[in-house]
Amino acid sequence: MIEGGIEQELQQSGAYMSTTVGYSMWPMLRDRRDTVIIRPVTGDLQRGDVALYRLPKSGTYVLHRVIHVKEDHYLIVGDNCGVVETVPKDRVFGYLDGFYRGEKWIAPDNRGYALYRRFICAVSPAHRAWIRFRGRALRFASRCKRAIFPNKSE
Amino acid sequence: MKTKAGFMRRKLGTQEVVVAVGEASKQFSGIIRLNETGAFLWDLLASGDRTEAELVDALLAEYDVSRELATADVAKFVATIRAEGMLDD
Repeated sequence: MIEGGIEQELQQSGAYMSTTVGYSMWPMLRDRRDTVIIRPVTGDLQRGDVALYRLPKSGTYVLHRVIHVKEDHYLIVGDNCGVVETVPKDRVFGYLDGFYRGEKWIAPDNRGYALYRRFICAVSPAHRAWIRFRGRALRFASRCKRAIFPNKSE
Repeated sequence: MKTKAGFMRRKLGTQEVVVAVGEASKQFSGIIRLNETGAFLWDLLASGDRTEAELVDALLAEYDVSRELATADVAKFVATIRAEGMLDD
């Protein structure tokens, strides 16, 4: 997720840079360590592009990857998320146009990044299933721990 | 004075900007755009402890400007980044 007034900055400057917050795009983007360059959307995004949009209720900015392009919407998921979001195309206003991973600049056509992008799209269904399973397993382990050691707080 | 840890100079297209990472990004979530002299002064402050007088001397050595203009530019730049909490005094 990104903090700040991005739509206005994109309109005025044609580009926006920010440090990402959260773990939803891990391992590509790390919490408060990596900075992204966002450009305004001018046409349809492609499968594998990373889209910037706002959640309608909270207004939170989200930067997640497009895994399917439909006629009027995208199916989008974070690289470290188990749930796919359906996002109307007109709600997406920016896309990732490179990022600094720590000090290292990763251009959109970087060979390693291109491989990662293809890989993460190819394994997306299995990866999402694994993330959901891992979440359930962790919650189950936490419940077991509380049942066995009821007086210890987490 | 020097720049605080967590504020990094980055390239945004043809522009130089400063962004915050790590703990610093909890206090500052935007960007600061630097012009050519701003980037020059930023690099000096990022590389070690400097006084305003040292920054003025460095600016005079690098650019063909009067001492009055250099002094005013340094004072304005320092005030701007200090106001954003980017300086350790």
